[in-house]
Amino acid sequence: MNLVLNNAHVGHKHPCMEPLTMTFGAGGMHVVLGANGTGKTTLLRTVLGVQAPLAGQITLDQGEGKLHTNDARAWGKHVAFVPSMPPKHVGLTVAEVLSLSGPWEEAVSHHPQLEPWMNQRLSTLSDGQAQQVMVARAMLQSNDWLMLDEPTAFLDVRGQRHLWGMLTTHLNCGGSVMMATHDLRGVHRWMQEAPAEVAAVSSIHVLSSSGLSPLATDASLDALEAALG
Amino acid sequence: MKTRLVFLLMLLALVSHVALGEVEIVWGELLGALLTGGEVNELHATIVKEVRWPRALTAMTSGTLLGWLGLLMQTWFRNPLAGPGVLGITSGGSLGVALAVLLGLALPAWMAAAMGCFAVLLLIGVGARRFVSPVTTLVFGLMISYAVSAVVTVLQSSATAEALQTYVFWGMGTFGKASFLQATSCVALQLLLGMWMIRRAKWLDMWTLGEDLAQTMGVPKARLHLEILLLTGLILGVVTSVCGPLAFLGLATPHVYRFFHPKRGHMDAIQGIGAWGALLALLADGVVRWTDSLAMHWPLNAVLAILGAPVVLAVLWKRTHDWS
Repeated sequence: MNLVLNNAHVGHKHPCMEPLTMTFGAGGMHVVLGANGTGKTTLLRTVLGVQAPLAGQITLDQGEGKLHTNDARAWGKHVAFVPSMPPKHVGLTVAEVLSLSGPWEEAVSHHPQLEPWMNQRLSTLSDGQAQQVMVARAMLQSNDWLMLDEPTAFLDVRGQRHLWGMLTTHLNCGGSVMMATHDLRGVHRWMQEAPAEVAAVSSIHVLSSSGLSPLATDASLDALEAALG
Repeated sequence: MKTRLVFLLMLLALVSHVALGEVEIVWGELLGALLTGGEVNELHATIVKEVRWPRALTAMTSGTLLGWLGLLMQTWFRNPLAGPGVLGITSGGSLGVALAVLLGLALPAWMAAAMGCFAVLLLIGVGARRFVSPVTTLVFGLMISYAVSAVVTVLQSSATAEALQTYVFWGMGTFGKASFLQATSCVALQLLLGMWMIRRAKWLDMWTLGEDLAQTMGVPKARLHLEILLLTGLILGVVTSVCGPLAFLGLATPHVYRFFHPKRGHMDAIQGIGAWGALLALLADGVVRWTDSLAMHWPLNAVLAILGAPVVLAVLWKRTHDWS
């Protein structure tokens, strides 16, 4: 379903950017770039429904059906979250963590690399491994939208590759992705390799106090860096 | 270790708690008389019914309840060092009891204690929203403890000798003063908290993954907070007013469980910690009763601290890298 922001005022007490009115197309990879402190996390929390917009509304639209962020139960079936840092000190096993959101066998069938960790505690995995588990969990929760907050920030090169691979799987299964990130190289490479039909509905935006300004999805790495600089 | 084994040990402790004591009870005779409707030794029947059984029941249920509340606080604050005692909630209960006993307020002690617990919980709840670091929350709880103790000391300085004595003895902690009614209400509270925790086990598991993530997974934060606040305040208030401000059990029982058992999901932890809490409380009270029989009369809180603190330290020492 399309994610629609309608005059959404985002912030704590005071809006931290101009009101947002835009549509993120279903089936696409939507990247939000922005310097630290521009409100990427606040935007994501608002879209996730953890924090209410100060004004305006955020909905998932398809035909006449419409879902609102304040309907937490229904929203959670369509929108799942992957935080920047995988949770620490979690003694649950990987299978137990996955089971909180669905049958863990399903996650293993999509991501065979998770299989050997099933009976290990999440706390014993490396950050890269734990982050893959968190993405797999989010995919069990929602086959529609995944929201990721700088998911590659704590990962090494291999971890980043696995993560992008899992997101590709999610998009191939008909899901949509929105992520806040600093990983310009990863974004650039992914956009270059993306199939045309996915790229057509994908977007890259730069977040600043004046709101979200779009960049071309086929922008060069230099152009991405310049937009952030 | 299997939870079933702990449960069996707990039952064993319960039976010996009722069966053994200073007055030797001829069980064959007593049970035979009860079954055949023969003449019952009134003294023995009274001792079992009105002294030992309520005491054993209170120890068992309070141990379980405190263990569960410890688990709940540790999950809620995602902090292995949280517990009703550490966060100053028990002190809030003490203040309530102090107001009732020392000032002679016309208020039942359990209600005063529950109100004190609520007040501190509310303060911590508000504070925890502001404090990013769990350590700050702990220090906040510690400061509340200090402030409350100071108020209690002031109250003590102007109290009558009699009231002061009552309060000091209450502060030493005991399972032995509980009436049958109080013991029964502890059982009712155990049923209440047990059913609530089983029902909310999944939410609590999700909560350990992080506050924002748990909310996006369907945990209604405000409702969970309210339920935890009400249950903890009520239960800790009742247990504290009946048994005194028991140190250590709430904090330590979850750690003892984690030391012996590998499972970390709340469904397993609830059962294991419930059994361990009852077992530890019964054992500690066994020591208290043993010293009573030697005319040494160690207070319960002293036994809990002497036996408990080294255990907790040992557990923490060995497991600092993985508390969960």
